[in-house]
Amino acid sequence: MTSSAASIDPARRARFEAVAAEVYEPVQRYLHRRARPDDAADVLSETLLVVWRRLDDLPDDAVPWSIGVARRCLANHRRGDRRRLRLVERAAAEPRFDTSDDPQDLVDQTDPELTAAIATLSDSEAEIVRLWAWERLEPREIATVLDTTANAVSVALTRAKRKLGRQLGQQLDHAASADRNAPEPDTHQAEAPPSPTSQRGDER
Amino acid sequence: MNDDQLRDRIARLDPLARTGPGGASIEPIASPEARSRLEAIMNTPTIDDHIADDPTTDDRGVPTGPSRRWLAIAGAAAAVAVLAVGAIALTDGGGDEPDVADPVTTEPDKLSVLELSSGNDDIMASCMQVDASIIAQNPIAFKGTVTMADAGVVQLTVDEAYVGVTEEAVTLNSPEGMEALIGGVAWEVGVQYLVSAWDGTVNYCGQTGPATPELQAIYDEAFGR
Repeated sequence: MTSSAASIDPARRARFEAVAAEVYEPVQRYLHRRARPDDAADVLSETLLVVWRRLDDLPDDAVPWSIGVARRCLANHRRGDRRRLRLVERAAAEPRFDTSDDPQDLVDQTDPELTAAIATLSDSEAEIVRLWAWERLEPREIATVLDTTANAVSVALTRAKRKLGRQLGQQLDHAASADRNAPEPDTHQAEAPPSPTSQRGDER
Repeated sequence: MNDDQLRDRIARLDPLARTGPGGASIEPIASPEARSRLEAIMNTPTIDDHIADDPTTDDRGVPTGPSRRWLAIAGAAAAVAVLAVGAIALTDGGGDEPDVADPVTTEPDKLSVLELSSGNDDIMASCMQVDASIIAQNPIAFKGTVTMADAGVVQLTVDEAYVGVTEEAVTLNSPEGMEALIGGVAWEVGVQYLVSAWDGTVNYCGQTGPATPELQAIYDEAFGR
């Protein structure tokens, strides 16, 4: 049923080493973008364990496949966290764990307009957009991560980009309108691109 | 704003770009930490053909249609059962010793029961593909046959204890109003089920269900049977 460590084929080790060299850092980046460091480290190990055990099933393009495994492992990990948390909260009636190192906290401070626009997307659209822009994956690869078709990803990505464009355009319109109504209009604002330093992050 | 500009702007939201120069938290593959991690993994048992042949997964190891539907049903009530862990000997009414019975000292003439009760969180939690490595992490796992399935209560006799169970029977109690959600599993008297629990929670999310050959193979793999 299982093979012991002592009997592991050296060729299998070599193959795993090669795959690990390919996926180790992309999977880590995926996890660190979405989870706290401790969770990311745990899920990285879980993901690599799946890769090790399913080595014979790996497709040629191992990176998106492995990110897909990491995604599912992370979801499972979070469910476990929630369970543990409920028990701890019940027992101690104390606030939950510190989230100060949650990568999402960093995201929210960077570009309020874009963050607000992304918040209008569905969860799946937002994840597709992140995989496209952060992991720099193409629709075919995103489809592997999400276990769907490339066509479905293309459609969703196009829709998401249109929504974002609309949202950001509305923010620009609001900005321009506000400028027109201001006592001293800023003549540089009309043609300016959306500024990350704008104070209109709560407008949609 | 064209596609490239939008992509670049979203990329600037990347939290890794703000965690320090060069993404300080990323371990290079050549680092001692990475080497140690990879060595540990390569020293774990490899999988046999059970999962590769598992009809519930496709060739990438992701669930196929029928399995996914089953998982979705189970997932509708995923993780709703909170395990009130405590072995209670029926013959002494639970008494003052709620600890799990020592397998060495368990008396065969006593019917001990592991009691489970349901909560109502995570009803809509989605499920990941179940595999042996996940099942193996559970501190409680057993195979049992349902002897009674009533409104909100399911009783099983333990046919095979994989880990963490020394009792002969298990009772699943669902809180008032949650009876219909007791695991999203159709509990039927006389049918064998594979059940696992972790950190006080029964894992219904595809990890607990009828003892089909597929799920049985995963449990066997997980616990080295």
